[in-house]
Amino acid sequence: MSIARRIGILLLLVSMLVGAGSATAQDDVTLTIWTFGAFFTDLYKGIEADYKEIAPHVTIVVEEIPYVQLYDNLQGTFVAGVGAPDIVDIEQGVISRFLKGEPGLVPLNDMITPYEDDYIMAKTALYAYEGAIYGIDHCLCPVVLYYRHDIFADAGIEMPIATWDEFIEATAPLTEQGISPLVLDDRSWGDYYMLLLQSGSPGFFDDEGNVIVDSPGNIAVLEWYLGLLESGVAISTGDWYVTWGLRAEGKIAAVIGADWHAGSMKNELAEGAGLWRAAPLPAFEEGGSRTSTFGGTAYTITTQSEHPEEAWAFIEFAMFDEDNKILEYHINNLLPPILSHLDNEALLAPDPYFDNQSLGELFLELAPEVPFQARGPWWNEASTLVANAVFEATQGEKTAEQALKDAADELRRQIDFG
Amino acid sequence: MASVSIGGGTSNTDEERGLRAWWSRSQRKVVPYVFISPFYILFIVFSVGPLIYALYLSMHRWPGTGSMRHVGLGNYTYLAGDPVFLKSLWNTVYYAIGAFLFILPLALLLALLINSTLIRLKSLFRIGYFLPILTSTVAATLIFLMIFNNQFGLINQGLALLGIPALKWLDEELVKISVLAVATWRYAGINVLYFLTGLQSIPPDLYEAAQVDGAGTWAQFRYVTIPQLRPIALFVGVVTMIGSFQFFAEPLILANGGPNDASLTLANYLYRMGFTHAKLGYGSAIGWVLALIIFGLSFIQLYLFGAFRKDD
Repeated sequence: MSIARRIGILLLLVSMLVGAGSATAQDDVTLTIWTFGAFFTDLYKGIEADYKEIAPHVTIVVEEIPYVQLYDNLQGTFVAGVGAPDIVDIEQGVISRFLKGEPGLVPLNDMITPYEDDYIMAKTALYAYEGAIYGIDHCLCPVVLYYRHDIFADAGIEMPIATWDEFIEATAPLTEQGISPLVLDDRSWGDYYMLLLQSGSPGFFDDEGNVIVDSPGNIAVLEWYLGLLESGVAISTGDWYVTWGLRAEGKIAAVIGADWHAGSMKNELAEGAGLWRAAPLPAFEEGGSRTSTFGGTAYTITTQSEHPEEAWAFIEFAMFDEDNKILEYHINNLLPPILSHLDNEALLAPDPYFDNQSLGELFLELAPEVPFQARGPWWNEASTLVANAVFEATQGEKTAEQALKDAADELRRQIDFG
Repeated sequence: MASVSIGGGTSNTDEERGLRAWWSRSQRKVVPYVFISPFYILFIVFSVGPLIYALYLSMHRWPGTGSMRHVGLGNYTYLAGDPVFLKSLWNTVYYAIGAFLFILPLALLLALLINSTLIRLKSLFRIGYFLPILTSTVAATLIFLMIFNNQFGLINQGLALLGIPALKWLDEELVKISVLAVATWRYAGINVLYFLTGLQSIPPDLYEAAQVDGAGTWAQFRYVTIPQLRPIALFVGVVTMIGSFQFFAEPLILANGGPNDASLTLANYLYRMGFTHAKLGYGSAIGWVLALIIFGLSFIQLYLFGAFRKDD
């Protein structure tokens, strides 16, 4: 057991003895966790025994529920006022609906305060509204450029590339060989959003909640995005599975993706072992940001929980115990959003899949640049409309400006409607 | 003299005697209602109750928590100018028309073929056509997703062999046809069975009499088969129409209602509003409009098929 772990456990023991809860230390407490992925279940199962040593009176019950069903069920429990679990893993893409009305989630501001110098607080913005932080993200989710180092080397392209302009110029020989330098989605918001955040935009809203979908900066990024697709620098496949197939065949040389994408590659693209490496994103301009962020899943505590203190104690153990975060990294490649964990040797170890590159070193280098993004209760509406706008623009039905203006107008109309 | 009460105690009050007398008189009338009451209790709790509550919700804006805001018919007037609602309504009507133009005629044709003397191994065909409805919607639709892929899908590979350029089956122009193709594959079989049941219940005497009168194959079909199939055709028609307006899974899995909402159905939009966007009042308004459309169209169908005629 590492020293950090021992200190963590000691702190937890002390906090549990000192802290007043709804139950005394002797009372048996059952904490129910709803989660959607086997990788989270594996984490909880993996740390359950250790937690039992620290908190013998607490029993953890993990219920793995399919993604869509989980959040529909959760919404049902909030409407009904009963039936919610103590802890829920809420994925960032669905949090906004739970921020409307009176959120059925416990604000965690006081609980995260002791960690705010160590935890990368930019990640809390996804789950925050009107000053209350409702979720603590499992992962940092920095975005990097995953690329086929053999293809780039054969074409004489030196990595990393500093700017996108240089990337476009340098990868021209690949296009001539029938290899797409990049793959981007033409019918969804995801890839556009990653690049939008990298460009310095806070996303679809500013930090006061105003709609900025049609801001000049956002329009400029979409126009540039269309340029990548129209010039052939990027290809759209229209299908996730097809993209994997093309990557396996060496027809796509690079993708942009978050830390967890490395885990997906190991599962979906096993034959690519040793052929891929990762680099910082080329910046929009010399010296600009070299990363973005995409995805995330937060620990949340429901207001229906009868044991919120015990629930937080478990989250604290899972989240801030360094060994547990390393275990999580090994399970699903989720990088801890915790500065003191990022230089852990296990994270910095060479990864055979990535040609023995240390992805951890790259992520550690980029972590301070992970951009802020503003979300709030209308984010689902925004992402749906922006997905349509991206499609309309890529299909040539509208200009980037018109597509985003129409989306922004409709979003404002929906927000006014309530 | 003491009498034994239902509860096992003893009592001889006038009230209890009156109750026993009432029970003796009425039990034959009451008991049947008790026997059928489970259905009505469940129907009231899980159907009528939610319907009434949804009507109440449809006059409010409410994200599921916090206070409700009464808006009268505001959700309904907003619907009338909501471009996505109108688009999803048109898409749903498109699927319904497609079902009547393609799925039902195909099902009838297949049922006639299976019922004819031309086909052997009838059970094999019956099972074969029924299998899609037993298949997981998600699994089947995911396979169709790959079949329809515009660059590497099976259909475009086949077209390429014929020298026909690749079509974008999941883009705005063709996605509804692709969804309809999946629906045809999935739902034609069950309708074949319905029609087959109807065909097999037509008395052979009618065909024999028609033959004696000199009726050919077409005349037999026109004047014997079609009229005799009317009850089953009415059933199939109403069920297909209701199913079309409740169409949900295939467009959602195949294209997530897109691209650009091009394949979105009313049921998909209801789900999006009610759950994904937590607009329970607006979602309820969509639900009520959907229910009224289904009720109205069912009524028209029943009327046109003569279901309300007394001579039937």
